[in-house]
Amino acid sequence: MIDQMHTAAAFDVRIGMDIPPADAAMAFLAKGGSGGNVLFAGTTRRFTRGEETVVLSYEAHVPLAKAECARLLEEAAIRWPILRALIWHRIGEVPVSEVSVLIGVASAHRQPAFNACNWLIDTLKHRVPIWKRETFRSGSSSWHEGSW
Amino acid sequence: MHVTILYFSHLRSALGRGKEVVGVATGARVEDVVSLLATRYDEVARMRSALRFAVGTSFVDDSHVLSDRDELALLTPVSGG
Repeated sequence: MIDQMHTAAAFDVRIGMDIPPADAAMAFLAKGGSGGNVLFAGTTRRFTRGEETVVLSYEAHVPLAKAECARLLEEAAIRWPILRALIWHRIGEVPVSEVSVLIGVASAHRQPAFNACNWLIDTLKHRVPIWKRETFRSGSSSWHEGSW
Repeated sequence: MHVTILYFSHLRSALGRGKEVVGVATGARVEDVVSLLATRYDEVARMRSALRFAVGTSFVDDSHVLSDRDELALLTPVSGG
């Protein structure tokens, strides 16, 4: 019984001031005949360590970030049986509660999709050249410390 | 030869610029250029041990030999997501 087509996975990477909404991401994932689609949405959190954030400002080395995201998707597809996957990341200002990043994975079954999606967001945070500056209600603002 | 240096995030803010062109010797390595910049900018010297480097769309290590007109990015620790 065949439960997965042996065709190349379809990937989509976008880094820009605007990214399409989550329903467009789900529509992209649903095209591959998968059985489990997982979509992670990272949003601007209101409170961090007791301080209220009003906006995050993201910047990126865009060509390198796109290339690195594509490499992450290729690596994920080696580790898990992925049919379709996407990484969409906003740059510029992202107010509280708005989406900064969407990561989606479609697979024949749910567990690889969950695992790959989790790995992709964890790995993105340490490898992709994107940075955020936090502006707080107090008026202070600073670049996030970041990590490799 | 000339190399364009790209700065982002904390370094861009501290240096007040996103890019600059520097003249370097033919055959210069990334580490040579970073050493030059560290003498010019305290913030580059201070951040140096945390920096990673890229030329174009590839990460490189500090022994990478540069070519004329390369774009060398000095990358501080990342915080996307």
